[in-house]
Amino acid sequence: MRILAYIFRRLLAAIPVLVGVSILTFLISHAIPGDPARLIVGPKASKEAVESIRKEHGLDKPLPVQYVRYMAGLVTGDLGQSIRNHRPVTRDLADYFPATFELTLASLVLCLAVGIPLGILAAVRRNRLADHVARVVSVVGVSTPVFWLGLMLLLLFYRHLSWLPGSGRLDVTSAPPADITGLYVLDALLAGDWALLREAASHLILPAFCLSYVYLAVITRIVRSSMIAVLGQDYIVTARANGLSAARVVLKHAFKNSLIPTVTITGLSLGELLGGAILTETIFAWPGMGKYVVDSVNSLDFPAIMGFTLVASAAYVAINLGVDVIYAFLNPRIRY
Amino acid sequence: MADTPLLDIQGLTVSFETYQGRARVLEGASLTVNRGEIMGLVGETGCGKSVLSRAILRIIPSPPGHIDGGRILFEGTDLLALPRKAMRKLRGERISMIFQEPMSSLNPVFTVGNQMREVVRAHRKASRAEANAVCLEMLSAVRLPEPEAVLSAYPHELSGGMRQRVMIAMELTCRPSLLLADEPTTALDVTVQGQILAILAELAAAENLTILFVTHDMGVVAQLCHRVAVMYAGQVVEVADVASLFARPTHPYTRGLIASIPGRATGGELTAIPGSVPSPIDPPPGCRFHTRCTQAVTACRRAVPEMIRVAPDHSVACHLCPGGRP
Amino acid sequence: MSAHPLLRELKLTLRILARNPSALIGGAVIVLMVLLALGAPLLAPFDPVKLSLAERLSAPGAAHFFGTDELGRDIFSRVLYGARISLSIGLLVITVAGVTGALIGATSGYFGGRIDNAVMRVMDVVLSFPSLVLALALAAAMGPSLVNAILATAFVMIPKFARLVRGEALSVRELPFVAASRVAGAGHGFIIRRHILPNCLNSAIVLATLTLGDAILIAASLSFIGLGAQPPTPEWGAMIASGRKFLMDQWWYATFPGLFILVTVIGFNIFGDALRDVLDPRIRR
Repeated sequence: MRILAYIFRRLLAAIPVLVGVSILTFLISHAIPGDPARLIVGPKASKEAVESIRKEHGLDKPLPVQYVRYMAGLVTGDLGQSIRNHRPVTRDLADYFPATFELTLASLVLCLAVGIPLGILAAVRRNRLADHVARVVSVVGVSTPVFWLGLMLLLLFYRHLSWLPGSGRLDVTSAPPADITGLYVLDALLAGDWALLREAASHLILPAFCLSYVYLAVITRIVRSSMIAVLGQDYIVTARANGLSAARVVLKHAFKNSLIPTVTITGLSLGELLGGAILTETIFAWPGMGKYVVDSVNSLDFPAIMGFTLVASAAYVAINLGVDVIYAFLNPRIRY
Repeated sequence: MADTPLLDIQGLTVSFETYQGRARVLEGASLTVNRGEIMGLVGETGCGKSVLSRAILRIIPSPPGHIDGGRILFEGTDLLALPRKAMRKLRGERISMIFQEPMSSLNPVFTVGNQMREVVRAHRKASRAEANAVCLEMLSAVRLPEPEAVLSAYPHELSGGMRQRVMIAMELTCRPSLLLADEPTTALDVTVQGQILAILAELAAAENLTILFVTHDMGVVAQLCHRVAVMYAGQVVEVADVASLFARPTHPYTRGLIASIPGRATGGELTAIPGSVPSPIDPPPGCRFHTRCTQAVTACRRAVPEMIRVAPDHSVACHLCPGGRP
Repeated sequence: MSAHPLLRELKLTLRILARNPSALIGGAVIVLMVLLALGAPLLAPFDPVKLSLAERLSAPGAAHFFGTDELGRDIFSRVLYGARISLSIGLLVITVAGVTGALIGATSGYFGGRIDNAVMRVMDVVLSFPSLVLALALAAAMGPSLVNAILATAFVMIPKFARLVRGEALSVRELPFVAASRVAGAGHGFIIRRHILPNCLNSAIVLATLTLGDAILIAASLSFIGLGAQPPTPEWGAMIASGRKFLMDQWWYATFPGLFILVTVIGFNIFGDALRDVLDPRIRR
């Protein structure tokens, strides 16, 4: 199977990127700050504590030696210790990960569910109403500060209309569903607890919408432009000349081809979703990694910030690896 | 019915909206094609021959293209007046089309079988197996070895010649009565070109298929076609059976075309027609060829010449020809 | 006497842009924001940092168009001064990222080979971080301040410019006149300055305009998180951060600064899109 060889090649290619990512995070945490030891123990620690950490972490050694140490830690899953709660950062991130995953996944689904049809419509009805709507949506989308949008949504739907809850994953009095996937909506569904499902879903709506809005712009734009490019291809003329219905020509013949560039760009712009999650979670008090990192900023918890940075970028690399695999399935010219 | 031509195009006018203005790509083009014949449609690049073939199927991209007037009678019915749905049903079933670029005319992300079966099942109720059988039969008819393998292949796994055969097979699955072939051999090697032409000629004879063969290659016309229509700047200027066209080309443009065929040039010299095709946005008045015609007279600049029959199967639109009004 | 070719091209570009409605709208928004920023001392009715505790958290009205904050400062005046800060941030980020990126890209593409390979790998690594995440980490490592936020934002923008200029450099270096200059004894630096950089100018301008909006957004996000402008600086993102605490009862506090970010960034994005259509149909976002 050539496809396996292809996936294997992509996996191999991801390794140097991941090493590069680790080097850059290492440099940010060890070379940029004036005193990395001070950052590890926090501003309130005593001079003696700083010195002992410096010794303990080998921060007085040359950078390459420090990097080897750092990598050794990474390989064993050690991202250092949080200043705030003295817990391993890895543990904290593992606790907060499911919430972020649920939020970004819901946003992604929302984006694709709205962005793809809107992009197709805009391409097919070029310069007509749908196209203008799509253009406005995408320009406003890429220009909106996510954190401000979140606040405006809260103001409208929570404060004034009281339609939706404004913070957290559940009401404060509710207990989370039995942990199966870590996604409350899914877990509540699996447990068959309809009331909890409703509750989890209603908490998810505002943050997911807020986060998806910016990304929606990206999806709509790329679907539109790749559809326009594909609709001008000879095989589309062939399909029409063969008497296929307009829906079939657009949704089967054009769409699958337009997915090839769309998938690539979608993957690349998923970084915006991860970045946006930081702000969205903060606004909606969504207990995920994004809120965790902003809380860490506020308490100057540097190890936690760097741990998040590394995990977020590793996740980003992994997502793009997944995207490459989807790409291979879509594009037969790669598969064989 | 025997007397009605299969296809009768009358005064077809098509324009395209461009940045510079409205381009009249076809201006009152007329053409008849009889049942069972292979009709060649020749002219330089940009003369409107491809647009004409696409107008028959009503697949001109709109906007910017628009059919402004004329009639396209297919078996007596005006295709331009047909409801959208009826027109769609006709495409691929009664009238099919093959294109110049076999590389890009097949969808790269679906297998040949997927695309062929889809055409079959778009026009009649057929199970997957039945559709498969039809496809295999057609692939054999275009002399593709190992039709099963071809059916499960993706287009990029086939050579250009094979893809063009696949296209032909795909277009003939519904046994149409008219096949529009838009320069189907131009992009192919000469040897492959010969094979494709042979297959087309054979199928035309065996299936009583009528072909409108669009090309700029007079050599191909001589080899394949029964009759020829010559187009210039959006108009049909001369129609004749092949023998008489090559023996007695009457329109000055046709004469120029024939004289420019390598190896046929009189006096061993290659004659090219001077000048270039006029812009369709601002076409010259009168006969559109007068700007390049060495024999043009005053009338040519004033009036559009009408088609005159000069021989039993030979008509021409020129003021200078016998019977015309010079 | 004919005008300088660059001037002529500029005139032509402007004439095409003048016929493009979205360019006009985007341009008008940008001009308006620049005027507001420049005219802030004249237009602002109040001192943006002057406290007036008696008037704290008053709703928008005749005296205070956009209301006041928890220290009684006039939000309208603060937002006007904020335009100066946000536009300067955008310009600074683009200048730093553009110049650095152009130099990296030009060198990398011009010399090609191993240098190019290594440089582009590094750029790939930078691009493997979600931009806000990387900017946040950098700003946190450097310490919270507006200058550091600008540097961090500029850093994450460098690869975009580097890639653009590199692509151009790769094609320009194959052109005959570059070989001719080499033969005529021109140095590498001269060729990069004289032939490669001018050729990237159009696409770099388009990219800069489009990136300016992003830069303003990222910098405002950093300030919102607490890693950028520090109080009492009237930076829009920082104002929204402090207004957040009062969102439920004093809606105006966080709303107006955000509205200004939105409008400004829309202006740059619309104008950038139009500019791209005119100047450079090749780059796509």
